[in-house]
Amino acid sequence: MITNLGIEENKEWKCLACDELLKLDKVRIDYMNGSFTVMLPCCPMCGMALVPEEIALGKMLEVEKLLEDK
Amino acid sequence: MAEPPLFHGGEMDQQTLRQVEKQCIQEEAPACRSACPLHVDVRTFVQKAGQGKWNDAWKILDKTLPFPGILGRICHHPCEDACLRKDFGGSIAMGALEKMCVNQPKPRIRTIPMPKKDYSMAVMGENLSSLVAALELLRKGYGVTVFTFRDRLGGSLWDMRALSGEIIEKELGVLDNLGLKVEKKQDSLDISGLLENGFSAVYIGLDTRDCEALVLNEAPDLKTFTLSQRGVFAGGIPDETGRVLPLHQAFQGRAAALSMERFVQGVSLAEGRQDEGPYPTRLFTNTADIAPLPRVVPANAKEGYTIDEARKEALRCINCQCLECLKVCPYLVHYNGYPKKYAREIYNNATIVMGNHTANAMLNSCSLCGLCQEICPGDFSMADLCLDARRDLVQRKKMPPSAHEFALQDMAFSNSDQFMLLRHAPDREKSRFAFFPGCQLAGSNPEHVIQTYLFLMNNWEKDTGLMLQCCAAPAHWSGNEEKNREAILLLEESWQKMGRPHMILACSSCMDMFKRYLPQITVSSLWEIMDQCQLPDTACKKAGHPMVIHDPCTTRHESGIQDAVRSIALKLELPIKELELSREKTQCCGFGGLMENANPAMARKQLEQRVNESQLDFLTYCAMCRESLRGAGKSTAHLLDYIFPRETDRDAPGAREKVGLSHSRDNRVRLKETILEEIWKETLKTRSEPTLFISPDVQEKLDQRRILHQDIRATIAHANQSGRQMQSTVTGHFLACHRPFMVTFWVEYTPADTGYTIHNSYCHRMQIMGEKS
Repeated sequence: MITNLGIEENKEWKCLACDELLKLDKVRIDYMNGSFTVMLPCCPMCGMALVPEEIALGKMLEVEKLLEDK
Repeated sequence: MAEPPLFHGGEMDQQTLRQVEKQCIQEEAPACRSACPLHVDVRTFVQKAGQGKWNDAWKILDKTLPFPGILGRICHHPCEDACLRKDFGGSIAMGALEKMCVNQPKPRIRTIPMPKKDYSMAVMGENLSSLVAALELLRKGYGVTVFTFRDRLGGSLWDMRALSGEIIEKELGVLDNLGLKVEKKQDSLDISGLLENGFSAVYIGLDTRDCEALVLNEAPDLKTFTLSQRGVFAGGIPDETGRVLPLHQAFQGRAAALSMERFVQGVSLAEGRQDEGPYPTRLFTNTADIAPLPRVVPANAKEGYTIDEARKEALRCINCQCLECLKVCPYLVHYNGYPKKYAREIYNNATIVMGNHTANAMLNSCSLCGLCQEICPGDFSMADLCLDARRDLVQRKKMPPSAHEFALQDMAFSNSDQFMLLRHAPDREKSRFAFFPGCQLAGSNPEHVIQTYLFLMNNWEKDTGLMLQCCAAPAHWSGNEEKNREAILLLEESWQKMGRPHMILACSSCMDMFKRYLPQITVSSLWEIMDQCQLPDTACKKAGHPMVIHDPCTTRHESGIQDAVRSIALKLELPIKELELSREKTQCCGFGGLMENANPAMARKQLEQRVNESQLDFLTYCAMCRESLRGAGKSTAHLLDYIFPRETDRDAPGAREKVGLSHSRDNRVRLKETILEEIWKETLKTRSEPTLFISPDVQEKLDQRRILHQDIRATIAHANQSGRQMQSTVTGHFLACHRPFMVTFWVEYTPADTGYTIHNSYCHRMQIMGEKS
């Protein structure tokens, strides 16, 4: 199942090594005993993914706290 | 302080929970309830009356009062004598309120009948004690036969002016509904005969005069109401005037009915009944701030209260509670309960098999400051409970990693080569004393460490060595016993290496740790030592404005340190005032017990409450307290700010800015380098690190997010090395990430002349698994 983090495609960031603009793609993120597949901006060539600040400090933090209390 | 092992092998047992719970008296009955032989919930009743909710008030009476329509009109309300309002305008007129209530139409009250039991009970007498015994037994599901001597049930109730025949008949009607059998006592019938003829137990109501002959002058036991003949019970005992009050009739009938049930069940008649009947309550209610308010007098004395008057009278109720600890601890308020409730939540948290550990945040947010125990009439210690719960979580690998990770890493840093240092005084071969400034003072003000050390060597004892390392307090507070043991061992090893010196400690948390875990080591507080020395001439004296002393919570039971600090302040002619919560009642700054690590928002609340206690500037003698209080925008000086003032700060030593987290680490590294160079003439290899250009706004964000400069440097170095970085097509900024441990750091930056300009940084704990789908 893909968890939607509500990230919209943006054309701001590019992968410096591949010189490619990031595009939304499926990425697996893990913490403790939890594993999720989410859509994150990624380099279409090397797959390097970006976690935007508002996601790191918002949704992701919430999930981290939930998993820590499991 | 002894720490009771509340959790045995990972689980707190029920019995320990009960012991812990019992120390919190908040749930004890208020004085009115415990004074009532029937334990009517007077407090709730009066609250409901005050809200004008008479139906609810009726239901409260009905819960505990047998025949409430009768007893509500004739009870002698001993609760009024016990009422704490008594000395503040007169006790609540409970008798009048009760009458007012039972004069209102009775609401429908649903009761669930108990399953019928195969035992029959005989009840002798038609007066109130017999009727209550019969009612209680019927409600428990027993078959009951009442043997009367006169025609009517109710006996002397019929002679009472307060009761009409209609009320008596209506109230006693419940007996009929429950299936009571009534028989006229035959002369041939005796007690033994009843027991032989199918009755399992017999109650004799001594408030029915004709019953007296049945007991042959024997008085029943006053706790269980048993007579010497097995299965025979008696109550309704007349007093020396030959009368018995209705409330006592009801109580004795009820208590005897319970004994009869226990008798047929074959269980102990006496066990666990100490709180039956009136008893002195353990509930403490502070009446210091209660203003007198006179009892409401009914406008029409004959008619009694009107509904409005009754309501007004009920609103005078103090609503007795303890909650003393909540008055001084914002943390205990924050979780919407009180210690007894928290103990249960922590117990459930420890014993839960599936689902979320919902009390983790609560038990990790306590500052372990011990103020609640100091205030508590029952000696409840939230600190002991929370610390043991943390140890249990760590042991079972259930402790949330984010709760204390930063503090434990900071401890590891202080115990690494970057800070740790053991030295005898220059050109000396032994140390009779050793100065131990602790991590926080070193991080907050390294100059003060150097100045204090020089002062001690010159004014106290030439053979004073220096020990820079961590006292293990973060490990202790986090409940990580393994890390605590390691750090304590390291501390002892250092002390041995230094030749077992007498330790001089600048920080009271370090003092607490030494006394707790290394009692073999002789320790003194820096302040006790300084108080015996001539203070430096350069000290800042006669501060113009008054200030209040904030005692660190770890000095709570260290009156010697508190006295020494006040004595030094006096010598410096500082105009000192006392906070209401000072000395043994001092309040934590929000850093203690790693509250700030586990729950920054709670720590801010705690800090704000402390800061708002006085408009005056603060003076303290703990580096961490200074950092916290100053961080809340309060002008706060450390005592050393007055003893070794910076020329630039002489006018306002309390204005020195808070030192952030990265700065604290840099200060510790710099302290080691500087002190080695200045005092021991040793030069450390200089570090060459890129400079980070960080605006104050960004730096504040970094401190909040606990992102250190070293994390930022590591992330940029990692990006440069791996080539994995992103660039904004809008701003041209670079963005890189790095996961050196369980945290992923993101840094947005641009290269600058000699380093990097940092625009932003954030972190998360979830790990990107990397592969492209």
